[in-house]
Amino acid sequence: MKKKLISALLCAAMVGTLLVGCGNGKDSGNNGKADGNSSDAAVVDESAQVSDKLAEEIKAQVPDKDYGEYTIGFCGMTLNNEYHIIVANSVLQSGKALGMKVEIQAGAEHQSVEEQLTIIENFVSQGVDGIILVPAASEGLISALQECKNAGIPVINLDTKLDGNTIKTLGEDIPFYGTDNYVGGQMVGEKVAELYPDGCKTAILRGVQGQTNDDDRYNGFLDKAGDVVDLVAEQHANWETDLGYTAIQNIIQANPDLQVVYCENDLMGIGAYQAVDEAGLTDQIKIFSYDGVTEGLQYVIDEKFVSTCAQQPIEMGKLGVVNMAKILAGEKAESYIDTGCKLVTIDNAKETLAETEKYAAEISATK
Amino acid sequence: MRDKHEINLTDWIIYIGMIGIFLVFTVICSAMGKNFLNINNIMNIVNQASINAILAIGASIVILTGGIDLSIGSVVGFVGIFLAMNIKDGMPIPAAIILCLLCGAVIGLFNGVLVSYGKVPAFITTLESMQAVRGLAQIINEGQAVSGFSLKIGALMKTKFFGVIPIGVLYVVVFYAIMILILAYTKFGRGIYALGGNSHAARLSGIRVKKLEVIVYILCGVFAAFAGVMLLARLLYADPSAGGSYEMNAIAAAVIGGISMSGGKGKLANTVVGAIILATLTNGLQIMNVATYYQTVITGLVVIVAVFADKRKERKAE
Amino acid sequence: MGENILEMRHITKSFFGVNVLKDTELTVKKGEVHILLGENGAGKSTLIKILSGAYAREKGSVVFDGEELPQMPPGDVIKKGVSVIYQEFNLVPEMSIYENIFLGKEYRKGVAVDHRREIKEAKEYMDRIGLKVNPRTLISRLSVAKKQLAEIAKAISNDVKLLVLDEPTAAITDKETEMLFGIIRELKNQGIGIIYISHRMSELFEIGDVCTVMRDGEYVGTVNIKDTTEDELTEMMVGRKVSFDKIENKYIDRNEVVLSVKNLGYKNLVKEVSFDLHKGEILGFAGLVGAGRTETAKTIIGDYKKDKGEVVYKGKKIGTNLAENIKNGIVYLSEDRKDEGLILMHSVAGNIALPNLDKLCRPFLNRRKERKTAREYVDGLKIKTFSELTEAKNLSGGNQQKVVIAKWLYSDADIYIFDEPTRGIDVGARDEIYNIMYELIKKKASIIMISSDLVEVLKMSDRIAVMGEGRLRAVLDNNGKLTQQDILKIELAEEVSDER
Repeated sequence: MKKKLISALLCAAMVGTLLVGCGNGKDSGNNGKADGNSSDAAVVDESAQVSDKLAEEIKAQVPDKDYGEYTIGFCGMTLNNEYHIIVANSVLQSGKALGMKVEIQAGAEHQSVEEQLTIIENFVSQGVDGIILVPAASEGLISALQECKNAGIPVINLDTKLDGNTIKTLGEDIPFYGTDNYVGGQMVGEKVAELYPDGCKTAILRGVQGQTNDDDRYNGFLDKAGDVVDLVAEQHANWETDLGYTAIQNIIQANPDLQVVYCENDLMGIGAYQAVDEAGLTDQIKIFSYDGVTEGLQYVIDEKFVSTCAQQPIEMGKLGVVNMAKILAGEKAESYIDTGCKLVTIDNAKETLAETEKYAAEISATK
Repeated sequence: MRDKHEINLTDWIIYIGMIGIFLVFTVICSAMGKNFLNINNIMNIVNQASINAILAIGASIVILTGGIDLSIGSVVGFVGIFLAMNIKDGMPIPAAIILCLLCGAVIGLFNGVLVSYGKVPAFITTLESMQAVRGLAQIINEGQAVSGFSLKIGALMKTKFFGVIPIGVLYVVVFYAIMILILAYTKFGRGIYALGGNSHAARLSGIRVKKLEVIVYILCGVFAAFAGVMLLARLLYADPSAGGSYEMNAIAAAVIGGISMSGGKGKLANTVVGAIILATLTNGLQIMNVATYYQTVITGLVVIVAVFADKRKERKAE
Repeated sequence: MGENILEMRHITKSFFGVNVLKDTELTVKKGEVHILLGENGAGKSTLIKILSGAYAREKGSVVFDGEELPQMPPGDVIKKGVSVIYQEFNLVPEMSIYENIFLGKEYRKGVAVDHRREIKEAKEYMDRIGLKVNPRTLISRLSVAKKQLAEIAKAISNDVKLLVLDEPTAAITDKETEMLFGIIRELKNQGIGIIYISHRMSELFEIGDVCTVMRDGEYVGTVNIKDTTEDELTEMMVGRKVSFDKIENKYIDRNEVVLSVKNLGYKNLVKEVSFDLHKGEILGFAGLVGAGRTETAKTIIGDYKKDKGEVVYKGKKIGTNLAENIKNGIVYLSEDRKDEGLILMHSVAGNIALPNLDKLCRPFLNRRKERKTAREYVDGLKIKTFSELTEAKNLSGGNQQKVVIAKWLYSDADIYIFDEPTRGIDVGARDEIYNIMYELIKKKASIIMISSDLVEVLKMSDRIAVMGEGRLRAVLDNNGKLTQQDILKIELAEEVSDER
């Protein structure tokens, strides 16, 4: 009887998982908390000293005040990829530069909205003085944000913009500092249109359905390249390397004359390149990527990607903390800053990589 | 009469299902002007199925004993990072691989001992080790992905025989052949079925059930580790979140293949068909460029149908 | 006694091409206790399952209460007024008695279940049959006998007109049996027809009015209990006479002790048990249920880890490693075929091979030999099965028991511990099992036979060990003068002294 029950539960769980995300709907249930904690400890070293240079830079931007009594909570999207780890580190180090206590929490996966709800609720009940948030989905966090509003806790939104409706429902503007992904998408679109003026067969690998990032990167691209490209396939590979690999392999089977792959992040791009490479079509099929993580930049240098679109995660973290400090000091925060993005090609890849590494060194711990 | 098997159509249903899916895709794809049924694509499918198929060996034998192993996806992620780091640090590739397989064995040993001697339900044990191993995968390189290691490891997945047959097929054929033989023709294999069929009766028949259970979990861990090696060789990029939910795909392959979730019944040979069916669905639907979320719905429905067919078969047998 | 409540005619059914029922009939009158008698595999259970709607009949008609019943699902048959109480009860263990009684027909008060009304009515039904417990008690907390009464209460709540009891006394005490009989008589007086399946001859004469005998799926005849004898019924069942005399054991060697148990203890279930077993001997273990006989056996083989004492086998102390002991030749044939004896979902051949894989694997399993050996045992022990590849769950109880025996015959052990080897098995098959035991001692094996059937113990044993409350109370020489009363006296007398 018990055995049967367990097997029934398992079947249900399995089917559920498959429905939620074929081969990708990672378990994001009750367990993520423990997971998140353990990885936080490893990824973000809270005991690290802040570099003097960073401390000076941050202090120069905020009202003169003792911030030692404040605790801010950072709720990240996830801490299992480089990009988000950089954002988290930037927030942590900038906050510590002002003497603040910073609590770092994040969901286990890209889509862990429920976990973020819990994290924010916990922040509220702990009584943090401010919350910096990178939402896992543009929608779905409204109830937690409402709690913050009721408790009078200011929230700053980084990287992924909260949905317009959410803001409207909340009835309060939440400052946002991040890249305009639409503009980034346009940059890639322009590049493709420039390289293929006579058109090209194109496939797009998209991220997790329902995230604004995904829609903006997609629509921005088509805005500039839509008239030129012949879009033969698009698949959601959920930002994952292995799913990108499989999808491109299958798309090549259906469209042997494919010329361009636009990947909305570097991880999918890496998978896509492996599939193209295995098919022996690296001369025919060119990959345009997005994100500009270290490995993505390296792929551009190695001419495996034509381009990637680099964002400014460090800048976002700093802006978040600086503006939070302003709010706490009673000043008004900037409501929107576009941290900008740039298209990285073979021409500027090396220097961008060097820059990223330099910034990374700046925010990382000096012991 | 005495030498005649009880021939049962339901035994063949999975093959009929697979052929049916192939036919449907062939017809629809050719109507759309896309090429589905050719040798290259079949190899694509098998290649794409290969990692899941290897994982599903472990999943199947554990399920046959009446257990479950949810930690295998995390093992894939952990092994990828660990292997990449070791190779990057200059460890010879064979040594690094053996070390990874050992890691898989140790995780399996841990699971197996807790389940058999500790009497902790397999679901709980492996759910927790799924968390713990995923945590390890994050900790070991501070959450960062690993790249920039020797790409020679790629030969383990990217080699092709006669220019068409991917090496992944070889692993599947060899490991399935060995495991099918072990299950059908050794005391150990019979013990696995007996343990899942009725552990008390198996014990009273002189089967050392605890030892056997531990070995099964170890094997499952080793297969998971090998799948991790395969994934790294395929993507040449190690990401700590890799292999997430792979355990569910592996269990789905086993279930579609008719391995009974309550243990004791099922043929491993059908598990590989289950893995191929799953890969075929993704492949065919992506060739048709069906929107991703319809794909997941369709795949989910296939699993439901498989579970339903399995239950019907059981009921019919009673 | 009045008109017919049930008429089943020309019922035919086959499984896997084997006819299990051939043109069988059964007629039951209102207010009659109708005994259904037959060996295991005679088709009694199948006939009942056809009546209950669990199986579809191939041919034949069922007339119930004057109305021709078409094939219908079990739920509808219950609504018509037929309730079957199987040995494995149809109750949800984690629900209370009253919830079980009203399962599927709950009283509603608005959207909620009207618990108060259910409890009140359940109490009435339970009072009618003398089940004096709180209706809120969980089924899992009840003894077997009380679960049975709860089932009967449930049947009454369904307005039962025909009640089928499948071996109702197999697992309950004598006192409980008396109570059950009282209830059966009461129901009978209310005009309810009762079909009663049992192997216990003494019971049949006590409770039965009429008896229908089946053999090999065929109808043999129907007789009035008043006008028949045990011998006649036995003969109808098996087609020949069965002897009950003590059989002479020529193979016992009283000088050679193969197993010596000294001061064995396990928790408070086995206390200070000491005895010797000789070569070629059958040592009977008598005692009431719960006397610690099964526990003693399991402690000897190492399934339970002994707390104290020692077991010496062929001059050597043995440990508690079950697999090791089995390998060395001490085997235990459980009374619980379904949970401990067989893997029901596996084939007969697979089950027979299971303890003997070392013999069959050199190093790879010889599947042809596996089947051939299984075939030999199927033929040799007259196991009724479609083939050796049939799953064990498709066999009748007696044939399952023979498969268990085949497993261990093939293993060629030195000591066989049989635990209730003939429970739930009919007279004909019993004799076959006794013959197998004799074959074993002829081969110089030794046997410990745990049995609650004193006739069997007296017939088979060379010596009889009587247990009670975890202790070995006496070891008696079965010299031919021993009677059931002598043994019972030991089982019971000290029980009284313990109570004091």
